[in-house]
Amino acid sequence: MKKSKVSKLMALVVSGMVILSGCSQKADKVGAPSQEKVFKIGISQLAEHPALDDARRGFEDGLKELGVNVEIDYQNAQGDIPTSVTISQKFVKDKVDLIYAIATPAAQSAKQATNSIPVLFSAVTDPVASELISTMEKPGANVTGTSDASPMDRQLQIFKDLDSSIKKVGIIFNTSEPNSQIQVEMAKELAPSIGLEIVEVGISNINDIPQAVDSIVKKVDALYTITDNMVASAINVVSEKAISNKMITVGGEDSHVAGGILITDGISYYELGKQTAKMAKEILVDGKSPADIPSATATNTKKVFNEKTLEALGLDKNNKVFEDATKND
Amino acid sequence: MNSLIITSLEQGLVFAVLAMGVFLTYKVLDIADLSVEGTFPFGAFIFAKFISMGANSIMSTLMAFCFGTLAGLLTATLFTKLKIKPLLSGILTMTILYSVNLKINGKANIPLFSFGSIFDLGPALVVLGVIVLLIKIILDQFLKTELGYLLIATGDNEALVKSLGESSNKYKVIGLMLSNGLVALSGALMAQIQGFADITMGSSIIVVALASIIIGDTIKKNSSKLKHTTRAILGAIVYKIIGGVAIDLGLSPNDLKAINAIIVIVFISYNNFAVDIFKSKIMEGGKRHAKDKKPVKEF
Amino acid sequence: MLKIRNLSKSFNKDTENEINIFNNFNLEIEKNKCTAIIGSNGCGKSTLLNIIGGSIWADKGQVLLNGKNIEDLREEERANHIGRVYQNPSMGVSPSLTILENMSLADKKNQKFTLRKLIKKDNINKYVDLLKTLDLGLENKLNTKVKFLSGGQRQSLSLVMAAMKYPDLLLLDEHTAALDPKTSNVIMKKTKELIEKYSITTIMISHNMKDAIEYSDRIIMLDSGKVVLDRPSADVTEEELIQIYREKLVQIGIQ
Repeated sequence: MKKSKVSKLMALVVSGMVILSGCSQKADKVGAPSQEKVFKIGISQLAEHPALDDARRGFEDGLKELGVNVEIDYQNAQGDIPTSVTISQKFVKDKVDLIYAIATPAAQSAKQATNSIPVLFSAVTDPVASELISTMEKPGANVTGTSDASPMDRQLQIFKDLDSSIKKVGIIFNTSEPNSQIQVEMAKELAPSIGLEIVEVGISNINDIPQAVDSIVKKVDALYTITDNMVASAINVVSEKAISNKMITVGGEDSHVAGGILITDGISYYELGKQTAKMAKEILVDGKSPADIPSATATNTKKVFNEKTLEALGLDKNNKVFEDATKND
Repeated sequence: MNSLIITSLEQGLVFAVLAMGVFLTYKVLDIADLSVEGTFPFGAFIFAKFISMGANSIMSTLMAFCFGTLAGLLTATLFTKLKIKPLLSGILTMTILYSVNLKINGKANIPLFSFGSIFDLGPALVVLGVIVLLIKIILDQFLKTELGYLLIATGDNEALVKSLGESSNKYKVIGLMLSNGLVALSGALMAQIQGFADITMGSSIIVVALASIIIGDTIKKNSSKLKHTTRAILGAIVYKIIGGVAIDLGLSPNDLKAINAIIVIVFISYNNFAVDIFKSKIMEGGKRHAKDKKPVKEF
Repeated sequence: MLKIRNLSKSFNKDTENEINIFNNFNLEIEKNKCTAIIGSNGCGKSTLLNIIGGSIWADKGQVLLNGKNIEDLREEERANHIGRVYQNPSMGVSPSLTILENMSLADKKNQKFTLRKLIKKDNINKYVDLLKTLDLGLENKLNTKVKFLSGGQRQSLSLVMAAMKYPDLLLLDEHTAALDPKTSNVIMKKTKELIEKYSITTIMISHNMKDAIEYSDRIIMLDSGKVVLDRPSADVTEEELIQIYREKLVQIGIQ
């Protein structure tokens, strides 16, 4: 009878789930054999995304380098906030020693779930506005971490250094990402002192990007790509159109340059992850409290440029701007 | 296991309110209302606005419901007055609400950690249980009233409603308003559970609602004792608990979405096959069942 | 009682498919009698009923019911005075509701619908008595969902629901056409009993000439929007009608 077929199907699914659970990479024991205690770390990532993935890998590699013995449980909410909430609860139930939350909603869910287990965040642009911490210097509770706010003043200055005639700079951003709004506001504040004017266009869907770029290139002299998940996903579209319009582009992070943006003096999410790993060591091994560990922005910024784009734009490689910059490989 | 089950139950109860709302449009009125994707975060943002202005959590939550009904009114107006197809009307409302949501507080993400919530009144599970029960009772009673029956009739056979001297459009408006009010209420509750309101809260929320309703339908399928509202509530809870178990089993995160989808498919298949079994038993005149029954009076 | 004055109606106006159904059509229907309207397809009988019922607007003309022009009223407003049974047995009922629920709804026709409970225990006996007159045992199935009833049962229920509040006018739109002959017979008998008992003015469209003659007081035959026969049913035989039919068909060129 069909009913028994369906029962068999259900049994298959359940056993499939159990088998898959066995196959998933839960345990990741690393570190020098001399350390006895293995720390349990729950990684709560909001979504699949290169920048967020980098922040995770940097963290894991950083812990390895520091010789911290850890067992990692990596969970990804696939962009669904309620799932993020459940993931945080799971970590609480599993009594992990530390939660590493990547992206604002993941960090907020973790903060809501526990006020005792240490929470480290990364890839959050403004942790104070997101109410994850009281102030950068004294976070105040069990939450601290690294912000991906980029040194925007340095980046905007590059436009003027390359071409002093640039006046209007265009920014495309995803209106759903609070971090992006924050960056646009920041850029608008900084621009006048550098002699620039910001023109922004907001999108809500990745399919809007081609049209957004087409419309903005008509209105501006150059393009600035902020750290925005949607823009990052379509960075090739942006860079190609900019090049064909012979426009100078400056990016917020090195993955943009890999995607064709001319130059960045910015953060690397991988390095940011490693920076956060240092904080993890301070908490787990040195016994410090998160309340006493100031939240930080990226300590290392790197200037990276894209040689092909440079040539396509017909710029002079010997320009002072490229002196301390490394080629993107 | 405990705190994870509790979280799944809490989310299940919040989504039970959502499911009861969508049930009104999807099952009763037979309208596919996609505006819920905008209304759910709308409720969260309205709550955030009011609580940040100093209103208490109960009032702010109720305001979310009230504004939600306005969203339903918008969809209904597009649909009944401008004659735009219901599916498109819902999408239009959802699109409008996206911009409205951003405008309400000026940001895409509003942290609520520093404000009170309805869960200050007691353990979340209890507060939610009370709310869900209250809504269920009110809905059940409403559907037994003259107006409630007309709502059902509107979804069943508009011609009948007209022949009774009533306008079927009026009831579509009522249904859409009530439904979106509940969805917005659900959004406000979720924001209080999460501790923040975020513009992405609504994406794929219609899937959660429909999955809850469908799963609820399969529970003791042939029993007419279980009211529709009960089914919606149970379906939402089961859906979330299965999700919670999947996470707890430590499934590879990449497989999570696929597993959730497969679970829904299995439930739907069970639903469909069970219908076939019912029909074939009637045709066979299933001996076991016919023994104790009076012969059906053949006309 | 019902007067149709100068009725004009065309479909697909201003297109190449424009069909003019009625042109200054006039008709008077007497009170308390059953008038049958017959005719071949496209003669306008369904259109006429739809215009009276309000599901279609006329282009020009008046529909006067008891002296009042109802042509300006929307369909649901006309429901005050008009009851209707359709060819499709599911159109007059709410299939997912029970017989009791359907009867309770029909009982509230033209009244204000409030937040009071619909099902009132005191009314159940009234419904049982009404259903008993159908001799179908429906009074024992009050809690059965209508979708589980047979076509004939559903149609009988539709009939009772349409007539329950003594409408001024009852419109029967080929209401037995979708039923098998045996069921059709029973429904027609019950229809006649019902409208005679309550003296309901009835307009009945039928394709079945025998039924039309047997169950009505007056027969009107339409052809291309015009009345070609108007006689008391007692004075007409089936053979006569068939003869006229054939003549008309020859005229159009179909045999």
